[in-house]
Amino acid sequence: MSESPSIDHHRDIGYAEARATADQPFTVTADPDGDGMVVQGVCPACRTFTEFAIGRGIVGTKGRRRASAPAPAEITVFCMCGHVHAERPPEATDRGCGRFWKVRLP
Amino acid sequence: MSPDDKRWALKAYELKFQQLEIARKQAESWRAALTGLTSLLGAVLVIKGKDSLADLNDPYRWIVMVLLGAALVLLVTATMLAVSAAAGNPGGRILLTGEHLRSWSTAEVVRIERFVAWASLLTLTAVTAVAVAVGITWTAPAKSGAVLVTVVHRQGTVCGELSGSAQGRLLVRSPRTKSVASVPLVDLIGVQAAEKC
Repeated sequence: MSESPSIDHHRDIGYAEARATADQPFTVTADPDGDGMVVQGVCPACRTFTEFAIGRGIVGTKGRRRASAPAPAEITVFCMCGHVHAERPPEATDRGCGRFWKVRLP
Repeated sequence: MSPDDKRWALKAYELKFQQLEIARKQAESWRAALTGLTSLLGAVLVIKGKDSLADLNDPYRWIVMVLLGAALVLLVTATMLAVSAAAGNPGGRILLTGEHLRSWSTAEVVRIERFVAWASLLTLTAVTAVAVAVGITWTAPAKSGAVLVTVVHRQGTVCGELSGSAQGRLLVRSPRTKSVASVPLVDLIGVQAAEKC
């Protein structure tokens, strides 16, 4: 992380898989460690800095036809603040408050 | 935005940590398929029937060869389509977001359905071609084992299958008309093996 989350701003809300709306701008930059991208900003629910790294990889096929399909203008990201939130189910694989929202790609 | 959006995003996020497993699984599938392809050639040639296509008369020999060749091409294509549907084509990458993955999955389902349908159709066509080829090898007239000769005698030349001699005459059967020419042995000047008449 390029910016440390401040525990002072963190809201200790319970885990919930609920949609949220980004009320602050998120930055989308190229991933310096790969060919993907990194989405950074403040989680609109728990108010903590969160960093969402998106890789680029194989999923099992070449995807020739998708090259002609329009790329999505917005992507879904979820909170990855790293804090332990109450009521987080043990099977949850995300590391945050559970909220998710859309971020517009540049 | 629905809860499904997060599920797709999570699924795409997890894929980032499974790249090696996906690549290895894909490589294993393709290795098995390519190994199977090499055995296709032997399988097609083994089930064709007679030991040698050279025993067949023209044009049956060429018909069988074309049918077997077409069957082999069809089977190879069908196998490649089926493997591509099952394991995907190696080499492509997508951005691992939920939206990209959902778009990819939707297109992939359509592609798999189309490839499997084509693979089935091509396989059925190939099996039919092999069956017809086997049928032809069983029923088509085989080449006769007779020796073709050119017989030169005092009155001229006769070309045909040497069928024997009787009562001082050499018998030569025409391969086309099946009529038998009779050459007196006293008139015989020479006999030469012939490639064809």
